[in-house]
Amino acid sequence: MASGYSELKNARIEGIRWDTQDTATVRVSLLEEEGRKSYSFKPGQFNMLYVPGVGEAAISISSTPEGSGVIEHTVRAVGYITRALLNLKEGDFIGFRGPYGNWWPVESIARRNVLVIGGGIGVCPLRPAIYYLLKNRKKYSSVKILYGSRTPKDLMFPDEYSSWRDSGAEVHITVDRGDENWRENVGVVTTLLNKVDVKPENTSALVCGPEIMMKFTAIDLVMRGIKPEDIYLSMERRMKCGIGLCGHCQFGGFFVCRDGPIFTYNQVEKFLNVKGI
Amino acid sequence: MAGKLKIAVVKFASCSGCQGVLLDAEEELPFLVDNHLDIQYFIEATSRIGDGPYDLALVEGSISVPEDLKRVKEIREKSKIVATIGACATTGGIQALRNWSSLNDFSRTVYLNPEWIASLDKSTPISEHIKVDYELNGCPISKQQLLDFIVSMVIGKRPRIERNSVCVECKRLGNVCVLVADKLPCMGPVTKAGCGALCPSYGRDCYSCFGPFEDINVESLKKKFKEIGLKDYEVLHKFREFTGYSKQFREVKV
Amino acid sequence: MKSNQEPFFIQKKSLEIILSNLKLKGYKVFGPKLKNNAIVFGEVGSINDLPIGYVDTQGPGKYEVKKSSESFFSYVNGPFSLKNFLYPSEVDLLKVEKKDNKIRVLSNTNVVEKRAFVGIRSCDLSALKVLDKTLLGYEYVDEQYKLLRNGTFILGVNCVRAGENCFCTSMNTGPKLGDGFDLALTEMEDGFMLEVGSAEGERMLDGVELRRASEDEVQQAGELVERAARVMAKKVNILNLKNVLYSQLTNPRWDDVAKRCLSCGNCTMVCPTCFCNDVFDDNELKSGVTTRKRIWDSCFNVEFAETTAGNARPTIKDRYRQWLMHKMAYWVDQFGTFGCVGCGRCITWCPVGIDITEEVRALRGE
Repeated sequence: MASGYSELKNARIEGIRWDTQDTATVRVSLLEEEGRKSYSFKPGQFNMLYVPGVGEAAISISSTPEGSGVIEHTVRAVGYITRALLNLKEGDFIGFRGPYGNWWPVESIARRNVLVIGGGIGVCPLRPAIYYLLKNRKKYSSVKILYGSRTPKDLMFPDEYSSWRDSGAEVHITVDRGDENWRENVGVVTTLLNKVDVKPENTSALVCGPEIMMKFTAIDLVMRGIKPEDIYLSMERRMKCGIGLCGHCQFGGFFVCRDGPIFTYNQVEKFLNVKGI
Repeated sequence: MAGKLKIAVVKFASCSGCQGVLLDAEEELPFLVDNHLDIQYFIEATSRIGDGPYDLALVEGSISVPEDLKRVKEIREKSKIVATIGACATTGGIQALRNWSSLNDFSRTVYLNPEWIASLDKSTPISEHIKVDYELNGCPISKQQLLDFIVSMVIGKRPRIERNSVCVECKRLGNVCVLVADKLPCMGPVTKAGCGALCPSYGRDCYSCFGPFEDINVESLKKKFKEIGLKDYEVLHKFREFTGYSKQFREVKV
Repeated sequence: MKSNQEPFFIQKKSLEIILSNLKLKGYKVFGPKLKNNAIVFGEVGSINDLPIGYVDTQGPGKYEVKKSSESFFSYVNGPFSLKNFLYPSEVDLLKVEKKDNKIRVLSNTNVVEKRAFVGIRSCDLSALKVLDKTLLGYEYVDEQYKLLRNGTFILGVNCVRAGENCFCTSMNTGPKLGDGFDLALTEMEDGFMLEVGSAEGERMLDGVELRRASEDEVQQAGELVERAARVMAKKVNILNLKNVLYSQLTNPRWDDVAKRCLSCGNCTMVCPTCFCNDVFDDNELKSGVTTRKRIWDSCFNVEFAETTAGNARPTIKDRYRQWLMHKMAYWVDQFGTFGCVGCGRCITWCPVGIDITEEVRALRGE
């Protein structure tokens, strides 16, 4: 048994880097040395970040799981809490608890072909997995990264694609709408699946993006012969407590915070296919 | 919190009761004004006339006379945040009862020289004329909700304006349902929370001075009211009180 | 611990001695009380505070209470349950202060008094077990619930009358009390059969004139409770219920019930197991201290499942389906038990009388 809300630790804002017009990466480190040393997370997990007096939000971790002491969270400034968070300055302190939730099965999918498929800022919770896969690239048969966003301006982490390629990943990028300088694919992320050699057997897919994108990606992958239990989706629901006590993030028979956020497609297919679950 | 929040309290067609709620916060207001609020315009409280721009305009009253059509747009242009306060501003108020009748008939009945009356045919909520950022409901508004709202704007956090029914806050208080146990025609199940379930806490049925929440089921409640003995016109009157001209209530027919 | 001894038989007025023993041992005693035309739980000083002789009549969206007998416990449950006390509608989770730009969590100073609850029925004792699994059964526990629940004394009552909306027999939660009580009464014509469920329960019997219940009395008490079970009119078929409901997510019945449902949330408020909550910051500008508060929320709240990506359950149909599915199916996957104990409160206190047993029957195609 563990306590939840009162586990709040002080975390120092080490910097805020604006990635796109409305999305930024907040870098934090835990104040107390003890907490800093014992803190570790797995790719795909999230933390609860608390802006004092404003509120708490569940934010996935976007940095490498190889602990440097600085933990990154990439957020879009759309709500009160995220806006308040991004208004903070280096040296400010926030409340911090976590990590929570399950993680991408990066260890158990060793020796397999790994498809990493991201949509929009859905690539952020995949980024720690990408770091892990590429650091341990030899363990996997192949690593293919397919990523799409609305416009070239919305692409996250564009500076990193070449280093992903250099580390042994096949990387394909697409946008819904290109601009005059855009030379790569135009179309939804599933159109990229035609560009890569998808082996039905021995392939695992890690997918994160808007729910509708994940749903159609999963359907497409199944049609290509990938087993539903090899398709992993990171679900988004309203997570208020992060620890399975508030009921807000229910998704059918699951608490997304406690049983997820990562589910296999066969776990959630029956709920994804019904509107309003 | 960089500097004080510049606020204006503006009145349209109304009884001034909702502004009064702010004045009634006599314990909290001095601290707020000393530290966080710069009252630029508040005719009932100060002779200072600050021309704006304002960070926050609290707008009371409905649009009922022609000159207000222009004035309300000016307020919008001058204000970063517009919050309407009270049943008049959010739904048209009690004066919107004329919207179902002829203004001309009323004028002739009441006034000796009806031609001197320059009024719009309908009393309408502010949101039908300008973009409104927040709505505080009630006749009058709740002091607690208003203070929480102002504090939230000072801090820059989401104000706690609940979007669920009165029933939820009524049961949180440990009240017994007056609709089920006393067969009173309580409007709680279609009314937005925020008042602290004031009427049911005193054994009375809610008359929806806060107006409807977003996704109400009028037909089902009408049926219930008839079941407990209300006649058709009584049912209609339940939906045509202080917030009768709210979007969801104005279409109600029996 | 089930009844660890042979049952006793006591005079009805001996209940007064038990109540005063509880108070002597430091308990604040709560029990059924008449308030605003309904029987609720409140503090009771003596048996005279109990609504002796009152009988309730319930129906879908209907509740009436009248004095029409001499019994202590002829009424069944009212709108209150143990949830109102052990999982209160609003509690302070923690206080946070900013000092030197850093956050300081101020220790929670909630002091909890010992509380005894008199007249708890089997459905509500079962609901307590559901809440235990839900709020204390996993890695993270609800600290406030744990604090308030600890040391709670339960004086239970076996139901000898079935309410019109009761269906505990279907959910296997009554009408006979299972384990978990400290003392249990079965009301008979000229006294109570008394069962002792704990050492603490036994300690409350000082000065009570006790005698062993005769075999006849034990049998008669058993028959009274069995009769209540037998005449219980409402039923839910729980055979394979979870899987059946999972297969009915697109049943047109959801559209039908959405036409009746007010989405007012009354069912979730009176439900003894509904625990969904919201947490918000209550700011005090003067002191700079923020109180993080937990408050009852409802899945019928339109913004309950709203995120910046949209509303996961935008319609009344979606929200009613979430509620019924949660009670009768999802809960099983989440916590290994039904979320429904068959108390029937949601039927009584639904202003428009939506009957969960009817809805389940329709969804099952029965």
